[in-house]
Amino acid sequence: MDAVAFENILTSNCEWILEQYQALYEEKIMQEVFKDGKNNELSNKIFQIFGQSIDLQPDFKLIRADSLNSFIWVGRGYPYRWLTLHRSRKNSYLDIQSSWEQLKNDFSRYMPEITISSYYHKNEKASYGNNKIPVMRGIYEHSESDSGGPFFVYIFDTEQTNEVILISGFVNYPGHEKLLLLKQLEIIAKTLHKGDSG
Amino acid sequence: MMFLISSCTYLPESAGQVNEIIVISSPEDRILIEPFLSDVFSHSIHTPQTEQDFILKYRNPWELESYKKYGNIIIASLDFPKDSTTDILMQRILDKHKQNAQLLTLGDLYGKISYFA
Repeated sequence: MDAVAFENILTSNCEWILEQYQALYEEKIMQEVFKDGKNNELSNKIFQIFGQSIDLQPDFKLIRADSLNSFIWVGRGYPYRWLTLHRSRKNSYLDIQSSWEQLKNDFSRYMPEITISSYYHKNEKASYGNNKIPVMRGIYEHSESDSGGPFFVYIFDTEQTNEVILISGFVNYPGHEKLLLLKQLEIIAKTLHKGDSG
Repeated sequence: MMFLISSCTYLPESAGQVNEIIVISSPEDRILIEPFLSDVFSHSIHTPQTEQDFILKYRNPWELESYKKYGNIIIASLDFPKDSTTDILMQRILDKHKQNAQLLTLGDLYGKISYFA
């Protein structure tokens, strides 16, 4: 095999290669995230309010809950990490431009202290089981702490007509690398499930 | 038969960062393969600094012993140009596992084989 053949093999197997490493990567993060167990009490509380829930680490706390609007905000201490769950209109998240407009409206409604920066907007797909689901990435600003950081939004389809569940993750750790913390929140977001947590 | 991915299952004693991939390659091959591998593992996230999902660290074949406990290892070798390091290492691994593939994964380079492609 020469360099050209090598390139061809990499190109034709690129997705498969990445899947192998992504799967291992996520498995390792999953083990690390839940090595001290799960916060079933909080997960069950989310289920009671939201009708679906996620697995959480023991040190996550409830920050805000709005049962009327099905909005949940949980988080843990320094380095600060937050997760929110809310429902929105599926139609608004079908194209890139309207998805960012709707997301700004959603954040403004549920978390007015958080604004989305106009920089580094990214729409991509992430693996979720055997499927790919839409993910939005960007930078947020938090007025209360006068700081900000990266966020993601995983968009989960539901059985309801014109409804999606959005799970958003926020990391605040100024001056430090944040990617691994963000990935940990993504792993948690992907645990979205119906039913309580035992 | 010259490209092999070895990815160990998670062990408590696994060394290296979770997103770190050790690429074992000869100096002769490295200059040719590095751009292609960098392209495959190019995904990054702005936090707002640019952070790569995976960090590729290139090491020489004779350093493999020092990195065998790392969780993610790629051994990449080209037939052309010929060299006396990775070519031999690759052939030894293929012979040991009775494989003749151009691309394969080993669940644990120093233990059981999980699957091939």
